[in-house]
Amino acid sequence: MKWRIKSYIVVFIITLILSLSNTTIIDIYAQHPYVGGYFSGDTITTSHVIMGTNFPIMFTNIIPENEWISLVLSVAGGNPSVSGYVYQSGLFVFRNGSVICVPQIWYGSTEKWYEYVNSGDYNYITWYLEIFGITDGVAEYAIYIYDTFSSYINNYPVVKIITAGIDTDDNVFIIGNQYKSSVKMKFLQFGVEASMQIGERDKWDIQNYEIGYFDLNTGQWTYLPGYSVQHDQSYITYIGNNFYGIGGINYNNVDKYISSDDSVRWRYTNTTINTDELLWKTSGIYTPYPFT
Amino acid sequence: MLNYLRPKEKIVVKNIPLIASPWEGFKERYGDGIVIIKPETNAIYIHNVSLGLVKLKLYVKYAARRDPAPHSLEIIFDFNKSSTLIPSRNGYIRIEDYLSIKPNKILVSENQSVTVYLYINFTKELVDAVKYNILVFDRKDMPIIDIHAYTPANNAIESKPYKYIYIYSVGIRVRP
Repeated sequence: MKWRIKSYIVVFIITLILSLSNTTIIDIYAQHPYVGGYFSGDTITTSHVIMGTNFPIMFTNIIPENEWISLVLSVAGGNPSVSGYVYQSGLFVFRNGSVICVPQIWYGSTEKWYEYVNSGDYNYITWYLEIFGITDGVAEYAIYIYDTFSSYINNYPVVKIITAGIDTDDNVFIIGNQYKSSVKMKFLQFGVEASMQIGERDKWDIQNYEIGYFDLNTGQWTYLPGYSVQHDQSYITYIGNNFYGIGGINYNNVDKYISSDDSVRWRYTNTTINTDELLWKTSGIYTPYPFT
Repeated sequence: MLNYLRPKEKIVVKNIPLIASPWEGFKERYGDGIVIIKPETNAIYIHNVSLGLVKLKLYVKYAARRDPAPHSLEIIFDFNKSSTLIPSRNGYIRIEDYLSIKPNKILVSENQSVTVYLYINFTKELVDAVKYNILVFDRKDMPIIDIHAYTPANNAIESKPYKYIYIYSVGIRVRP
């Protein structure tokens, strides 16, 4: 009997500690759901990355006030080996339908630079997010905004270019994969992040397409085979023994709705995609639409 | 920034979250201060505009801070660090070429608001370009006037005891 009481007390204390520690983490730090894809292949360095993106389905009324859903392009920086800097361009949609682009630079999990760029409304035709200019240590971000059908078919976007406010000393972006302490780094990623698990079945669908990097050897825009990644495997850079992943938790109930060469649509549904599911198996060269 | 140890490899895993708004970054302690730049109007209607300079007030407020962020910040407006390009009949024009701010360098203190003036030079070229976008590309609501500002207090932040200072500018839309 005494033994049983003791075990109850031990179980109670462990439960209490676990619940307190969980509460602390949730209260202080962002636990953003994230799911996406990555380019698979050997490590390559580049000067430019780009992604086309839009919202084929978006019922903004499912987004709570002060919350958001974002699509995001992320790439690791190097000088030329992995530096610990991560460059991100996120396009956020809010309940009122407004869209902002927020380029940001992180050194590990410390935010180093942030900019807030008004980028229209969720029902615009499409956007392209480009990150470039890193050769002198100061990244530049371009947003190509195709707001109307006419602007799209005539290829006349509004273009916003922002120069980062910090010099990271990086001179390349890094693409592909590398194993570090048996962990697979995924240096270029594209996907969906939200401030919380936002979604109802078929109420949002986010497309990433024409994702690519500028191949410095061939002088051509290039894409590599794409695989899925959930947050818990989204390692994008490292500093010593500290490894960094994107978001904070896996995005449940999000799956690829459809994918083809260099294109994927993420949809909130009733199934969850796992890490390392094939999105497309080819690599190739292409010209991103804004440059045609 | 959830930290946990992977026992086999003895590596520490940390998170990189996207930050949507300065308030979110401040609340989650990725930054220690917020400066908000708010124009007196969120939209300009092009049919009301006559050629020449339009003067708008911008209210600059050091809206939130926590120790050890500085109690006062120098804010510098710089249109060289951003470009907004819109189509025109003869190619693209750069909106920032038509913007200026006076004064372009100010000091803001905690919870104080400082007024500066944004000047938009509505030349024939700019007005024609806006009309061209409305007519040819059916653009009716262009979020094309952004205010770019920075604080030197954010430079070399590794040596500072505080974290990032966010500067957030409300944009101005141009409508027919």
